[in-house]
Amino acid sequence: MTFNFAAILAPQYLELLWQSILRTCGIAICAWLIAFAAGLVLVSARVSPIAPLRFVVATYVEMTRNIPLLVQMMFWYFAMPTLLPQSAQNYINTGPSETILATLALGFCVSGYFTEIFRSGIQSVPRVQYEATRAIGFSYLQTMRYVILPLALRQAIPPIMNMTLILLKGTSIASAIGVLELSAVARRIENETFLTFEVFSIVTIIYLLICALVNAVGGALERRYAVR
Amino acid sequence: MAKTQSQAMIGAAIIFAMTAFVAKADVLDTIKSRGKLICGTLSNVAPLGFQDPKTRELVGHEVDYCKAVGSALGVAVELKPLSLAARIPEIQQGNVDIVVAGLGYTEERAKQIEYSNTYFVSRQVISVKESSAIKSFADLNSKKISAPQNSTSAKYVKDLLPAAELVEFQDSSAAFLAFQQGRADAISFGEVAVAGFRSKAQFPFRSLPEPLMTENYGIGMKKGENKLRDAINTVIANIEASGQAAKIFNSWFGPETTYKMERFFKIGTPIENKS
Repeated sequence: MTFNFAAILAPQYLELLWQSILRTCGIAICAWLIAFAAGLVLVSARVSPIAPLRFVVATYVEMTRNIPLLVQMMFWYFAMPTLLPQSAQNYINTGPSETILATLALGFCVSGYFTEIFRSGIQSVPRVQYEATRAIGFSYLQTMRYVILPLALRQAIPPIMNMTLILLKGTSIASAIGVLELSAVARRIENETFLTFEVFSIVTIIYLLICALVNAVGGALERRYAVR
Repeated sequence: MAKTQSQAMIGAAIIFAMTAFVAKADVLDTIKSRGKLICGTLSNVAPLGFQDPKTRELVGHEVDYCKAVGSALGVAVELKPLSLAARIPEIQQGNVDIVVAGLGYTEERAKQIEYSNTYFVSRQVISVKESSAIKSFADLNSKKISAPQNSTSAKYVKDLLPAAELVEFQDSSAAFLAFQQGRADAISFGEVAVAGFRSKAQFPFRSLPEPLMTENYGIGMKKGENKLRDAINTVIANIEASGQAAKIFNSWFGPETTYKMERFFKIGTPIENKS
């Protein structure tokens, strides 16, 4: 068995790999921001005193958690746009629609998980904190914003990091709808060179490095916001 | 210590002798002594290789070629369904003797495996919606073209239409759906796939008059199996001469079928591609 790493490190493949790393990271970062923002809004509704609101969010969370990510990607890419008027569809088709819709699919899928992670964080905050804050005249949203969520998020850092890694690897599913992210490029290079072992070892190392970076950030956050 | 060393040496010698033996025995002799040809083919691509809904048996154009080669060599045929991506690895690992599975010729593949002469010719075409303004390849600049992942349809777009944007999908139906919904302006497919989708699609589309590429299909086998390759080339030449090739073509693609294709080629020509 001889290995030929040089063939894959040729300029045209390096360029392709670099572009795909940027795209993978871009999708992951945008999807994470969507998931985090949506998760915060959703969890505020999920633990609110209004029962119908709680029910709607609980349903949404179950939908995103119980449907495979691949199916959700397919839904966002193939089914969702057909619900829009024709002019909106034409607008979608002119842009890099596959990347944008994949990011939305991933972001909204993970937002369901984030909602549950935040909720477990909120439940770890003693109920008296909530009551005391309301007692000194804060509204419900102010209570969440200034007291409960800051406390809850500290508790939630480890599971958030966990989910972030899953999100990062979830970008590879976008290859099914034609997004040229890292794993799609790996398969393309493999198909052109037949150097299966070499391509996938290089891509494995790239994924490991990206995840190690995410882990380092997570570790730093954990130390900075340690629960005292 | 001395004993283990000598044991290791004997072991190495045995392994070496075995590899030498394996390398010498050629696949054609193995097939004949085994009395059976293991033929890798397709199981989910109509009409090349698919399961007959009534008999539950594997049938199709490629299956007919497996059987024709088997009967010409005077052996039984064992069909082995392969996924598109597994075709070349299965040959290299020696799990199948030959592969008749829509294997289009490319220079890269020819470095990995041995090809027989051509047994089928497929025109790769670009299709657009009936209402589209695209009339020729020049109009495709910076337009999106969809194609199945890792197919030759995708490869030719990349190689021959570099100004267009290639979007690859998991499989042919996803690629077609993206085209149908306007996510892509055009689609790159083999003629057979186009004919298949034409009968199912609910909207009009047309293919550009000029084929992107004329692709030759060959029977694949392990690199360096020259004896087997020559035997199969003889079989292909005989099938063409006896008229059996035309019969097989017409039974799957001819005017009586939903594909209604004309046979514009003869088989048995050397396999090099020309655009």
